[in-house]
Amino acid sequence: MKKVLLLGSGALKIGQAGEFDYSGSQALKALREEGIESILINPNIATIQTSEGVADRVYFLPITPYFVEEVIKKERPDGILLAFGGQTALNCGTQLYLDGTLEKYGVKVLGTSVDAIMITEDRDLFVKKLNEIDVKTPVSQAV
Amino acid sequence: MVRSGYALGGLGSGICTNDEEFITHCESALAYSHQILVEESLKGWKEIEFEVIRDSSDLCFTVVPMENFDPLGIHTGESIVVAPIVSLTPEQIKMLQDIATRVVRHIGIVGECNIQYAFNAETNDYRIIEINARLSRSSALASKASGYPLAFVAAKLALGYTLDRIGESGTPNSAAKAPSVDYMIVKIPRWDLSKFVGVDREIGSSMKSVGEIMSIGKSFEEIIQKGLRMIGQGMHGFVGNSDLHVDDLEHALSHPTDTRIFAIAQALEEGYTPERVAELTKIDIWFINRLANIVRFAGKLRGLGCTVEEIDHETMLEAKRLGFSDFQISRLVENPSGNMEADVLRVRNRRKELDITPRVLRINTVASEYPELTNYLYVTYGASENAIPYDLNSRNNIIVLGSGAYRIGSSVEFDWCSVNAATTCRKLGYKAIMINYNPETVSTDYDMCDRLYFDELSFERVMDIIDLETPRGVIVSVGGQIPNNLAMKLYRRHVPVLGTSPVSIDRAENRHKFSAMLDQLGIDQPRWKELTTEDEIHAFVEEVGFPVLIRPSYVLSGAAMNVCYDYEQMHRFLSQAAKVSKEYPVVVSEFLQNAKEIEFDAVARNGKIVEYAISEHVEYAGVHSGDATLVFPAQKIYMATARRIKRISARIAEALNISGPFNIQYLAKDNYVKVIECNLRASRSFPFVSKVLKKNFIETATRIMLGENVEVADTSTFDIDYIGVKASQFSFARLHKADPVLGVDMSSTGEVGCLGRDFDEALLNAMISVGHHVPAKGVLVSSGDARAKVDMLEACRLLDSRGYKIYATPGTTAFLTEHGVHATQVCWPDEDGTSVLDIIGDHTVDLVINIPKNHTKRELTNGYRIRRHAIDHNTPLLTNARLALAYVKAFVSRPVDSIGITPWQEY
Repeated sequence: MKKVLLLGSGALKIGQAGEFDYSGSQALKALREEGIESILINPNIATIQTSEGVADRVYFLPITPYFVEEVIKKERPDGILLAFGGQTALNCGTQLYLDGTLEKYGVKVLGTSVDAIMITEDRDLFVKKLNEIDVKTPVSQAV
Repeated sequence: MVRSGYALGGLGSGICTNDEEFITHCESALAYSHQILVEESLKGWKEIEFEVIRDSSDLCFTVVPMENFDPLGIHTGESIVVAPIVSLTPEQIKMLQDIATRVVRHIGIVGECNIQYAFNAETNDYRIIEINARLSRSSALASKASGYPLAFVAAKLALGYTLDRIGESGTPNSAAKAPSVDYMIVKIPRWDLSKFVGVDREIGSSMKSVGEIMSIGKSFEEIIQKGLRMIGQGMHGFVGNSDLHVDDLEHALSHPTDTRIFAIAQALEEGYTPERVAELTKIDIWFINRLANIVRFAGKLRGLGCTVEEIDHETMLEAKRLGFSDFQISRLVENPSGNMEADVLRVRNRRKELDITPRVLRINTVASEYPELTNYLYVTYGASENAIPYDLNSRNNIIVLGSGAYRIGSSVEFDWCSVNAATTCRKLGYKAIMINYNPETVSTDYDMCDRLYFDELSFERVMDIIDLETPRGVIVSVGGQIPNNLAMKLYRRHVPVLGTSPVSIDRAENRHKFSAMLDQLGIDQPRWKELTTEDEIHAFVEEVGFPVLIRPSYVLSGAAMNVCYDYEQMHRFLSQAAKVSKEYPVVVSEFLQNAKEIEFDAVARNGKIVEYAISEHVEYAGVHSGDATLVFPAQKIYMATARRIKRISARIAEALNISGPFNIQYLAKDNYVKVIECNLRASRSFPFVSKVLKKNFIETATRIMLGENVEVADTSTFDIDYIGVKASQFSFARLHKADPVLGVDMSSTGEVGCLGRDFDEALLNAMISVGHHVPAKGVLVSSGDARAKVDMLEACRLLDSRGYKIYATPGTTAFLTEHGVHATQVCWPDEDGTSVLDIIGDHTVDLVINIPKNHTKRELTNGYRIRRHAIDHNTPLLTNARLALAYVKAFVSRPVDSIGITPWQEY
């Protein structure tokens, strides 16, 4: 793993606030400790993670599949971290995984696999999976 | 219970008690997600949360069990949360922990996740409500609550490490073992609902809070009182607050709102039993009993019948252990009136006489770079010894006061400033000491400074820490308004405040003093007066004319500031929303329409400006500077205006002998320039201008405050050949019923800052970043006064020429047609026929431009319904004509794929 792309969480909003500046900064610190080149996409210019000396390169661009793909094309990272930018990063990364973009550019999802993420995000899959080991979830129906 | 899949913060979710509510919720949930869930409601059960960590070798455990104070039905982000769990038996906790690790293994998570339970403590029945396979708000909280850096560890796990290889194996610094805690924490959300007109104040399964605090201590009584002060909404703790009274207590207890905790205080004071309160609120009796202890002790203090100098040792110590502040003690024992600064100090003196001072304890940290450092600290009265040694002679410590809870108006930008100040102190060889209590920040990461006090930013607590640290100096100008407000009080206690003198800070903050200073310097400002009767207000309005900006000092309901355009509106505002009296004067200022607003951010040394940045708002004055779209460097101001602004700023810097960061806001129209505000502290836009310019203003300011030499920058270095645009993020989707309109009071919750080779590129980039998408189908345009209509005409011409289908309300359609622009007419919401609401609802349009006119009631109501409908159907909305025009120009002139994929480092 030589070069890793981290997706930030964008502007602060209700439900997704400063906590992701903290978690993203921590992850970038871990990459730096390992000597891994880090690329960050986050348009939130007021954060610590977008400051000098935290990530090697910072893109103040929207965290949408289009822009992330463009950055991947340009930077060609080996891996991508999706878990540090809240729901924004997770949704965007999942989409790029599902439509084959990540595979196309040979970008590996680091940490929890997208398949496991899907289980936690898709209610039907979630309930089925937990039923397998007899763990209770609220009686629910996805529509 | 209706929930959206793939959403965060419970967006679009809610508990429905009848068909009507059910249909409304489903519609709104489906607007934001393609999948919704209809579930059994577990309202009233307990909500329990764990963070779970697992590595590739299958080592898996839970970190910090957390319990929601509020019962299920209230989103965990809206709930007070306590750790560790206090109201369950060890067996119950063990059972839930075992299920958690079993589930995480079964799903195959490698890294960190959050798991939420509904739990019925009587039957031991449970449900897993949700798992988040990512870092979350709760994981940030858990990291701060335990000293276990979950995000850092998760990143290492993602790179293939196993837990035993993170931190120092076999020591308490190893990540392979869950941390144990010998203290308690409470997290309390911070809401800003009073900023929004019409918003629903009930809290529930969808988040509305904008920030949070964490309070650490030894007892629940201590941390809840501390925590309620930290929230920063004028509360002094659980008790001893004035101005709080609800009439229908039963309703207030059973219908949770942002202020329910204070209804509990009132109920207990009025003699409700803890059992009754627990029954009505569904909050565990364990918590209510602790709250009742506070109320009981407050009663004792009230009944002492002595002066604070006569309080005995036992009573004083018990009060402090129960979290009473010096202020609360003073108020409960003596009930003084007016400014209580001197009275509160008497309590402090009495405490010291009795040798009752707080102790400093530390939290063990895991996987830290310097395991020998013991720098993560909190202050408590529940201990007898300090856990760390103090060197009273070092004189090498610098205290940086942080920014507290995120709120509308003070957010991550001040965290950036605080962290940069601390980093600069360390670079220069000082020991940086940070005080802050916001678990969502980087400044409360114990690796960022030499010592972190995770504690209150109150005068009392800051003085406690100053007494222990005897710092060389205190920095009050990088954490926003909270530390800024402490400057004068600290100065009066002879604390060495670094940078600009607090006397100058006071001169800038005090409206009368500042205004007099401007008059003396011959600097123009909008006319204003402080008035105490409606007659005086009328007389002043006669003089300056409408519109006027009204700032009451006492707000009954709604926004704190308002622009009034006529007598009727002013009368309504003054009679319904504000008090006007000798005690509560109202500030009335002339309000300039169609004026440009310009920001001047700078750093000065001994009254001489060293670095500066001039940026302009896209919107005309009237939109709060925190909501406005900012362009830097300013593109559209006259050279003469820029020159004049520089000159005036230099005079103000000199007059106030500024040493450090400051910000001045200007109004510019034609050829005149007026000063509207001056803050002798870092402003919201400091990180933005620092990063666009690639000059760290805070680093320079900190160097100056520490007496280092800095070079006055050559003006040519302020010339850059690219542009930065800062755009605001709104969260109206979360704030049901709130009117999504911009005004003089700030309502955005966040921001982005994007770069571009020209204004269009930077603006388009920024607008997409805050959630806009370039419309592909149709655009709805409605209303606006004559001026706005002209602005809109230009935008509509552009849209028309590019083949966009324009829909418009009757008046606007007539106007557009008259000027040769094609538009399809749709009815107002209150008319018969295909209305604006229909075409928003069925997504015929994918951009709504509604410019409020501020006049007749009917238009306001109709306009409100259009705006709200756009938000509720997840359709991008613009309410400002100037921004709408700029945005339309940007997206018709350049396609999204022409936005450069250029890293900051290459600009």
